[in-house]
Amino acid sequence: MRPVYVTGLGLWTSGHASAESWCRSDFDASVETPAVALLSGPLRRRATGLTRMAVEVFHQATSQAGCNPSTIPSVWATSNGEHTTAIKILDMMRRGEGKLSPTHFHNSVHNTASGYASIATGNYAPSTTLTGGPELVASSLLEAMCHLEASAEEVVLVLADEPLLPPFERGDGTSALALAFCLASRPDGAVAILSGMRRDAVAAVKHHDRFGRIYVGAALPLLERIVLGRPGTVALELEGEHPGSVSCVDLELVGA
Amino acid sequence: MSDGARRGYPITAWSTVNGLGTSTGQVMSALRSGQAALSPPPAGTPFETVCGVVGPDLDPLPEALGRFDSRNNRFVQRALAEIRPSIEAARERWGSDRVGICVGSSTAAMDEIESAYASHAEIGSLPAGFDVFACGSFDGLIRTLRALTGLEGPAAIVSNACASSGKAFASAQRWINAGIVDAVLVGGADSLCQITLRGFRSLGLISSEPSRPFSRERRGINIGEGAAFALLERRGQGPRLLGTGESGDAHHMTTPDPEGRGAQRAMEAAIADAGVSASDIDYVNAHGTGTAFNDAMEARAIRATLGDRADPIVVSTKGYVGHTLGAAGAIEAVFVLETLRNGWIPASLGADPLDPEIGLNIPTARVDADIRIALSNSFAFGGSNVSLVFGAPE
Repeated sequence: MRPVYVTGLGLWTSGHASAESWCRSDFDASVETPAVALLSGPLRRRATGLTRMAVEVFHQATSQAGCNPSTIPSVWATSNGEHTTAIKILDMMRRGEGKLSPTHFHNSVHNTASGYASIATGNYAPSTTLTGGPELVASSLLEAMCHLEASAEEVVLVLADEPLLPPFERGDGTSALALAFCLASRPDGAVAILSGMRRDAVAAVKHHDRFGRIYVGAALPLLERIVLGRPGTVALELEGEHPGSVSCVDLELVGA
Repeated sequence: MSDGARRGYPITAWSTVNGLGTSTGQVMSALRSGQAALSPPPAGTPFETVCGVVGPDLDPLPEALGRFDSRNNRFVQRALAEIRPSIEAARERWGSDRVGICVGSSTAAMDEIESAYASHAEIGSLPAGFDVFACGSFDGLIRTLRALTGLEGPAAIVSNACASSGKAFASAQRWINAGIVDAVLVGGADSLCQITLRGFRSLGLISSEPSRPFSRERRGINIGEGAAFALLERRGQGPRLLGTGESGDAHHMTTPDPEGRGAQRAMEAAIADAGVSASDIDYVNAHGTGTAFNDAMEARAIRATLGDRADPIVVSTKGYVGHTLGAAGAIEAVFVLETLRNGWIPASLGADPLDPEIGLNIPTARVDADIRIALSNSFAFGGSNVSLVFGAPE
């Protein structure tokens, strides 16, 4: 597979409204909800927390890359999906409410965020939502790279997850996290190059205190090393999941 | 482009379990007889409807995989068992790390999560040993698929609601085109749960009677469950996946674009990707949910895409098994593969009396026909559309 070019990044977690803020450890307590300027008032009011974060980083990455958010194909990755909404629905059912809220129902599917982004931008392009566990960061990056290998000139990969709620919590950390990578088949405007996706005997990604076992957290080192200018082989899986080899990718910096 | 890309890729084995039976043979024999397999909904469903429920004779997962045991994974186990020799042959032929897994699912084992949550509410704790990730999640589905097949290539679950397993074919095709694998176990699996039953009810889309896609008397959806798999290989014998097309509606989270422009874009993209023309399509397995809105929209989109000159046979198979949500694309792909191999098209069950506004060639009895090229549609929440073009064996 040909190398792909990273042209834009996005990140949102409470206290950090951009990839740069995160990488500078520039914590801002006022960052509590994503700005999500892409969603109009009615869409924003109906959007879930996960969807707001995901659409926010979609917007950040496509803006930084100078991509048109109305035409770009997209790959979305979420392990826990709209778990918070699912728990709300389960609780309503437990309380004997036989009829569910239609908004809660359509907000419970894994492709909720991509649906909102498509509606907000008028985007008709293919959009795939992937889910899974430890392999999710690698498989979604691979899916995005395959779009470029096929015919797309650019694609945006959005990864977002919230910690699991009681009674299902399992050491997922305390914070939700969304990241995005705008990728292109050509080098114009690129900040980094990714190649050589493979499984190899490299050290897996350590759990971050804030994100624990949230699987999309395995994409953090890739984003950090692009921003901080640290090329090399980057692992894409959290430690303790697949002993032996882990998925990884080679990162080069443009101009380095 | 890789060697097979121009003519598509062969599907060398396939299988399904659904409301019609727990083996592909049983399912196809029931489909051929034209009888629906709809039964009362799961206990606790607070309204009248019928569902496509998978029969009771399902074995639990082996002890070593006990923590992954769920109704959903039992469907997977049963369907995979049928095509085990072909999966083993693909593993031998290409190497286990060159065969991927790409499966669509909307809710996976949500029924297990519902039971666990209810148990927690009642007795204050989850059932002993319950691990949401092993039993109830999509990761548990991937781990089960890996354990049951020994496949070590890339693995992903596509979760685009009711387009999930249709889109799994599109991803699998991309993976083979890009050269990262030589074969992919494609499929879909979803099991009935209260969230989807009550959710579709909240949208006013559930029919209390057997679903009647394309009929002027259609009243809505029946929900179904099941699993299906198709082994897509770079080379081999069998009907072929010729092309795939995906699109977004950019319209509304639950209501399709009434003009069917998103559906039309997906069909046109699939036909172009297959390198055929609209008039080559002999047969369409429609999304055909049986709601007033979907069927009118889809008929409009099919007419707009395939034109007046062509007169393909259009069938919805959801009258037999219900709408199997994330598994529907894969289950209906299996129906299409059987048609391409065996030369008969099932009746569009429940379509009689046809809605005159539909304006398509919809058979209300089984048709014997030599079908060369078929198209299958799946549409979903979020305006996610996918169309697949399959060709008869060369």
